[in-house]
Amino acid sequence: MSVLFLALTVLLAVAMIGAAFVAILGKSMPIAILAAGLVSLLASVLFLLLASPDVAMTEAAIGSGLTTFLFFFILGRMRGGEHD
Amino acid sequence: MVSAIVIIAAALAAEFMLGLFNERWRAAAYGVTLFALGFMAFISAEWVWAFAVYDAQPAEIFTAGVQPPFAINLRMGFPEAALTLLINLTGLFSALYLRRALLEKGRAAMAVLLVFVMAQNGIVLTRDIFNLFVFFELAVIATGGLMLLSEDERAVAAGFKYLIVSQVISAFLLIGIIFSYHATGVLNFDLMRPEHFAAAQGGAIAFFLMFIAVVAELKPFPANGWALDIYESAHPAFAGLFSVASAAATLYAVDKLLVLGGPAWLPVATGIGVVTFIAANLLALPQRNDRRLLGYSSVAQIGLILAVLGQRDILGDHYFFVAGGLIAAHAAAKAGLYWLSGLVASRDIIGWSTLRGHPVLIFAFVSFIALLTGLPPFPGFYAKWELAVALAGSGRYILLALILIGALIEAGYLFRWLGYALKRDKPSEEISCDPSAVTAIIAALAAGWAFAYLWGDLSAHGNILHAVPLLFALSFLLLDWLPAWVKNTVAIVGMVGYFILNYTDYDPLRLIFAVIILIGGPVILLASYDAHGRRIGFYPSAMLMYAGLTQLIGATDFFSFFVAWELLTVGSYFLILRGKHSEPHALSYIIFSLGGAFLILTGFALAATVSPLPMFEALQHLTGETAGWVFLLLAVGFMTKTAAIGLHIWLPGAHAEAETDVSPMVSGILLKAGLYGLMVLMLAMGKQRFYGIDIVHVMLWVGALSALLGNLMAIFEEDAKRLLAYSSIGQMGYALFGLALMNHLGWVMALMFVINHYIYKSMLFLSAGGVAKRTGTRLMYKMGGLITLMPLSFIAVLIGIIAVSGVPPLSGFGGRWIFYNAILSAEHRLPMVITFFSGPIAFLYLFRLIHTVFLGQLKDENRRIKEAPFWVILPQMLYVGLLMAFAIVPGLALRRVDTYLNQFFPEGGLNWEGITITSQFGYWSPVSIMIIVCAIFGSLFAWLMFINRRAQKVKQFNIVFAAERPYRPETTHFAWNFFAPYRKALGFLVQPFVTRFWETIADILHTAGDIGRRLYTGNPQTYALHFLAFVVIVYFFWTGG
Amino acid sequence: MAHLAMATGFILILIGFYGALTNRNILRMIVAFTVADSGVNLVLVAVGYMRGRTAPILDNTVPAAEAAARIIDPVPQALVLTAIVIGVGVTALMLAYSYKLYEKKRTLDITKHTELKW
Repeated sequence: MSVLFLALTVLLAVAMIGAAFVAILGKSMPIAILAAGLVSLLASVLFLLLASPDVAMTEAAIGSGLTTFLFFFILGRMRGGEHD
Repeated sequence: MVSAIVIIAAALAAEFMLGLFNERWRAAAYGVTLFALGFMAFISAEWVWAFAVYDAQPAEIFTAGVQPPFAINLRMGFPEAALTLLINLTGLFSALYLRRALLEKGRAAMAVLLVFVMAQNGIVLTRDIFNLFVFFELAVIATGGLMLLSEDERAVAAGFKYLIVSQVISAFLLIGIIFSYHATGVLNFDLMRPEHFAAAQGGAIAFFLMFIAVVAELKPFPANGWALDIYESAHPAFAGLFSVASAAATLYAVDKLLVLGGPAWLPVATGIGVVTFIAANLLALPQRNDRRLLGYSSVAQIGLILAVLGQRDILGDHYFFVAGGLIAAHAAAKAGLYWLSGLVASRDIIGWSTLRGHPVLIFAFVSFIALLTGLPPFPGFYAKWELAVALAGSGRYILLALILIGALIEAGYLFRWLGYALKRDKPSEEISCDPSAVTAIIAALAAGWAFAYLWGDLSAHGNILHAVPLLFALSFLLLDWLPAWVKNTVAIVGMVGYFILNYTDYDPLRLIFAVIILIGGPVILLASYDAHGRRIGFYPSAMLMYAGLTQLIGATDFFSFFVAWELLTVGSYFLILRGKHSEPHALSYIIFSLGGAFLILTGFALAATVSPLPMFEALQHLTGETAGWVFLLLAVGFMTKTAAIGLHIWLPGAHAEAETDVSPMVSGILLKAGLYGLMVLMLAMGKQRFYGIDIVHVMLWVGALSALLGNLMAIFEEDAKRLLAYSSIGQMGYALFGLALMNHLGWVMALMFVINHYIYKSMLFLSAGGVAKRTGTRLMYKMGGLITLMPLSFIAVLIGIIAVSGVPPLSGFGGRWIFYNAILSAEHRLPMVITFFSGPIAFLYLFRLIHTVFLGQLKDENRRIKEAPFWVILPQMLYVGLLMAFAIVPGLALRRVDTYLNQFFPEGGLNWEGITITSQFGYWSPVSIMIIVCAIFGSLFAWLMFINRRAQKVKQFNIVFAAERPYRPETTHFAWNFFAPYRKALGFLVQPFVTRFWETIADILHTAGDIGRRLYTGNPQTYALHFLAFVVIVYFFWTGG
Repeated sequence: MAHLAMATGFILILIGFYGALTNRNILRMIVAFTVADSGVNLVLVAVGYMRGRTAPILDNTVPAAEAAARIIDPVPQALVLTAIVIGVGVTALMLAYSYKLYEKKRTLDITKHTELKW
């Protein structure tokens, strides 16, 4: 059981770091925002593995969902600026 | 008593209530905001009262009804109560000031303001480190919110920069908190112990991360670029609140952490604090934007208080007194100055001259500057004293020196600003007199003075504001609306009355000084009757100076002496500043004076730690190396006041540019303060060696050189008052020389100098001033032939120069006789020779003074002038009488002093028998001399009158030029460049080396500041990098040191 | 496993700060801070994890009597919950700022907003 957890953790870690790099270095703005949301989502899964279900739920809802929504909301308000 | 948590609850309730209001009910919302802030302030005030008056105990507030570590608790102790009161009151008055802006922006702005104040309260009250983090984040969000609502777009950028850096800071803080929890197992301040951190692996790093994050909120150098942008661009009311409230709260948070971390962390705090203090003050030097300048000053003050927090181990009981005094002074001054800046339209510090014409605002401005520089009677002064004594007592000399250097730089730019405000031309924009703004400013002013009184009562050395002379001087502030002659009369009566009541308390030495100050002062004040109108500002300044002088000679312990010293410096600064062109000279004067005062402070601090005895005895008991250092520091400090060579560059400008009746005061009386200090010092300590060098011998040389160079520089002057000013330098050199001889006659000579110099220098300055008033110029080559038109001034100057030069029969001759006797019994030859030569050199400029002004050809433009005003002539005639009297019966003043000096210098005294005075080398008979000289003069004069009948009159313009075309008309006047051949021969001795030296130092400081401030590039990423670099640097110092 | 999570967290923080301090676009800076915040939260939770124990929720599988031996430390979780919410609050505020800055200058380049300096 714990071997599975360990493997899953490694997978999640690699995926998170990869998504983080995309978020920082990605060319297009929406891709970067989505990558950041993905990092949060993967983090919430990792929280589950770390025996913190309530933190996982909060992170998924707020860190992933709400934050990504806020970003797109503001992005929508600003047109043309994100290419700077 | 209301529980402290109601403070937080009231704020929250108000914020939610605002949310329920209709957007249109702005006035009601504003009312709720003010009421909430007022209520919070009231609760804090209630607690402060309880602690101060009823000696209450600190109360713990347990949230959730459970004790820590299972719940968060808050504490309301005395420091918490005082700090929350400060925060809430500042918040209340800021809200008042922000009335217009808040009503415009609506409920959102008001709610955010309440969140900000609530968060600061929470930071102070909480005892849980995560709760601290939450309140810090609330403060960050509130600050961000308020900046977002600003009109100024630069403010929005500044707010964003703040948020970026605070994101990095909060990441560090969170990681530090979680690892601290891991190390100690609790989150409560009182349950965490330094041992837990030391025991756990990585515990020290955890604490380091927490500590550095909270310290970063204090805006240490260099991680503070974001803060300066906020200070510069935010609404001034918010900038003031930000400076006071967040600083006070965060400092207390750092204090809580320092208790947690243990004594190993105190040096880190001190190091960061001192570096910030000095760097911020240095970078403030080139600043022209007033709010950014105040921002640098805020950062500097907070750095100083942080350094004080790091000294809690040596401050002991005085810890809260010192730290609290600095916080109180900073709070009242910064809030007041920011609020004032909201009234001034221009953002350049020169534009603050619009404040003139609003006496209350100018008084507020001056008070705030005095609060910041730590002048008496304000709390910063008491704090500085206690800090200096504690540091000197623990041997932390370098720290003390660094703090004083930083304070001197700060005083430099603050007084430069003050000079601009008081002296520059008024710009066309008027100030905007918003009543709520003015109310807030007056509240800050009242708070500043209230703190001054409070800290005085709490101090162990007595309340400065209880001293009668000071209160007398301050009363003139209230009387300033009266006409000048009324105030003059009150001043004269007050001073003479004080003398009559107290003269029996003085020993003969001090009695001489007392007579000069308290009787001599009123004689000079007679000349002030000439002024018309109300002369606002003259009498408070002059009386402040005299109060300082009076308290100086009455002081018996170090603290009172130092208080008096600073008071007379401040009073004379404002007095000198009144001259038309005296702004740069006054600045130079105050910087040198404060520098000297800080040296004296260091000397006193060193001496006071050795024994708590009164001053004189304490100085006598010093031994060894300490004695040498104390003597040196005090001697140099006193010599700044007497303008010894090397420290003299402020004097010519200051004395020459001062008003007609001010120059005699500062030259005749104020310089004696330095001599008084030297006398007390040398009587108490005698000769001292400093690492093998006999300091008194050096002083002998300094005196001789001052005499020579001062007199030389006077020769080449064209301006009559500058000539007299340089002459004062020379005369003070003589007096210093006499004192440094350390024998009986040397001291008699010095004291005789003190009296003589007062009389004739005041007289000469008055007549020069009177002539300048009538002819419209001080340049001597523009005068000439005034003897017929201004005969009384001529007589005064004639008697004066006879007295100064030492020609018989006047008192200068007696002084010279004593001088020769003194040096005959001394060991040092070369300085003697130099001083000896200064005599004839002095005669050169004295002769020039009378010749070029009164004799020779009368100029056309001066043909119609009258004699100097009556009130200016009257004191001069009094002095003439005094000089004659003193010449005939010098024993009046000297006899008692001679006897008094016998206890210190038993040998070499004079013998006073009848009308002749004998010494071991010869005798002096003043009466016979007077008779003989008068007989010779009388007979020559009679013969001249007789011959004059057969003289042939020659017209004035009967002069032939040798085919030369003069391009500058003044060069043809015989008086111009009078001593050209001497200048060719000896001019090399008067190159402005010293002036260039001090100017170079000032330039270096300014350039350093200019280069340093380029650090703040405006880019928030750079600021975040500064923070990271700051963390790394502190880490390396902590692990390495 | 907790160590792995902690290491990941620190790496995320580093990546996030690197992105925040080198990107010129304001929105990208905020995205980078979001990543860093996730990293911080991960570290916080990882500190509280204890091997072999379960979530700190008391129900019939974990009765109150033996809870102390069976559950991981609940305090860091409470801290993280607060930190997540604060993080989203600050993110929202920064987004509002970016909007306002964009409105003023029509650019999201941070180096164009540096009039205040020295």
